[in-house]
Amino acid sequence: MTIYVGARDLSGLPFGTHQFVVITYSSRKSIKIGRKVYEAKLLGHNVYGIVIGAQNRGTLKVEMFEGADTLAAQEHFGEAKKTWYKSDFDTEMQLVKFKGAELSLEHESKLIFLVDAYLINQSLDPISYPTAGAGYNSNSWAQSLIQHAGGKVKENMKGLDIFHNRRIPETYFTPICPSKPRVKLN
Amino acid sequence: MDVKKGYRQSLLIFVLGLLSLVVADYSMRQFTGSPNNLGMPEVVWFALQVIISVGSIFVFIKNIQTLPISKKIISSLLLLLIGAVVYICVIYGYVFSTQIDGF
Repeated sequence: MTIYVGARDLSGLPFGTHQFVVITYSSRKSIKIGRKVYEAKLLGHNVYGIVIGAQNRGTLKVEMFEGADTLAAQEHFGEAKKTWYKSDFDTEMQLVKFKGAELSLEHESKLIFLVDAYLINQSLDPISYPTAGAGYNSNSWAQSLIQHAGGKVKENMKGLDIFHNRRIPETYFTPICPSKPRVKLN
Repeated sequence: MDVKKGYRQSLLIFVLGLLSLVVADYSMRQFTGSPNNLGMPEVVWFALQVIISVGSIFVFIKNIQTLPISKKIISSLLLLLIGAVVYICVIYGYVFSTQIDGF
């Protein structure tokens, strides 16, 4: 089991990078995230994975296996073939390390726990998607998730991944109602 | 007089061209049922944008032929600036407002 942060081109735009998270396995596996069970999809030769990313849906909404994120991951790991006449995402994948190690069941569970909590909060206390993405966006989300899970990964990926250095407060990744209202973002 | 006509005509070509492209791309996404994938092939999408831009610049240059070289340069740079703003508004506005993608 390995965790990556991916970065891909935005669909249809000459400039702009979107970050997302991929949990990979060497065999097929199912994981319960939120109320649903997700089966890892084939991303490449002997690489299966769960693709998680925050999307522009009016709010900063987390979706599993979003079309473009999944295709970008498959391009990187080899399941989707790139040709000159077809669009591609020029995906970059950066390995996440937890205390210097790549493998950690404990950190995988923590990561899933944080995503679970965010899924609850995104329906009860959603973060608005910022105008033109200029604010807490998918890049902020992916990097915040990794940091709150205790991982370390390259932050500034290829291309224009604006606001990758902003961190969404951990209260948005906790499954409890905070005593004070959450700081409103965007 | 020709400069104003040049701006008007070339910007009209540019805006209408980009809007047509956006309509075509959006229709393709709706037709294929996958609005968040890549839509029109990248090569076609960006090649058509280049063709529209070149057409627009060509019309502008035709209209400013009588101007002295310094004014030609200044008015061309202004056109490029306006074009960049229009491009960002139309293309980025399209992708973000229709929620096709986002940072």
